[in-house]
Amino acid sequence: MTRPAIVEQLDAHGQSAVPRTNGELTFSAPWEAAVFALAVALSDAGTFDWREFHQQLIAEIQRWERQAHPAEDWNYYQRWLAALEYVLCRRGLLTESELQDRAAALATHDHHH
Amino acid sequence: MSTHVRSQEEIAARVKALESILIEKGIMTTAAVDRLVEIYENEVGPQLGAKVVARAWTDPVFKQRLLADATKACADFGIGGLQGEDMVVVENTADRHNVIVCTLCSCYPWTVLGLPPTWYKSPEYRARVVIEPRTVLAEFGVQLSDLTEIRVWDSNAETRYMVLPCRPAHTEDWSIDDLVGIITRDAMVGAAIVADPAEQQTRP
Repeated sequence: MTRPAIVEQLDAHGQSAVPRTNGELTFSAPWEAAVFALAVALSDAGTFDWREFHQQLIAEIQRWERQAHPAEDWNYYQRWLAALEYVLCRRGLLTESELQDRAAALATHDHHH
Repeated sequence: MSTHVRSQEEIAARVKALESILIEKGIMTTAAVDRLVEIYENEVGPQLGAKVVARAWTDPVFKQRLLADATKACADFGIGGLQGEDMVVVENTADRHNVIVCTLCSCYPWTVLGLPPTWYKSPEYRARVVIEPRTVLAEFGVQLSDLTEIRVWDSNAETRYMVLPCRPAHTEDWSIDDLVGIITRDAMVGAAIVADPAEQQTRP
């Protein structure tokens, strides 16, 4: 069963109308939501197996934790991004230079507006 | 490997670039991404787990089924769609308190609790709760007697756990909706207990 189907089922019972308690924000920045959703959506679409991503996420978290003096602050979704990039590159769906070029192009584009 | 530390803006730009490449290549659609964000930001959350707990508190047959096979019991409730993992619900009792963690990453029962809070994903919580659960729980404000056994459940690729908290006293005549209102996310992780309403100021 796909997740949207589940949620539709829940909607039918009016459960999604219940307000959230424990009101912590789910994501602290829009990019966190985007990178989370990308991984789940790609797995749902069969682009990669969830377990493949999950194993890489564990590896990325361990890599961060093994640093004696981490250069970057801890950010869970940054590990998530690293795992996603790795899996996509390994599957030949993405290259590092492609990603860098596009990020640079988007930045230039933004500056023109 | 570069030692450059990326700013939040650079990371955001990188995610935007990633998304745009995947959409351009036809691997992903904007609609699919937006829909998932919508689901996890607004639709799936601890209110679902609270309904499961309230039902278990008021329906002994359901509770038995939930403890025997939570994946199936939750599916009957319209909750499913984990990434292939089984759900296991562990029951708090007068003598035993359960708490969940994922030491390797941050596996969490998304479909009943939504996405995990920041502290659950922190390296500190993941490392410490297995070593000194009583101390960590005390820091969360959960003071347990030395006679209470604490069990720490480490989630993994196969299994995700949820805690069935103890039903507080003075709620015998409460409706399911009233009960749902006092069941917190943290209680279902094991990082809180559901407070006795007689010791609180107001009833929900």
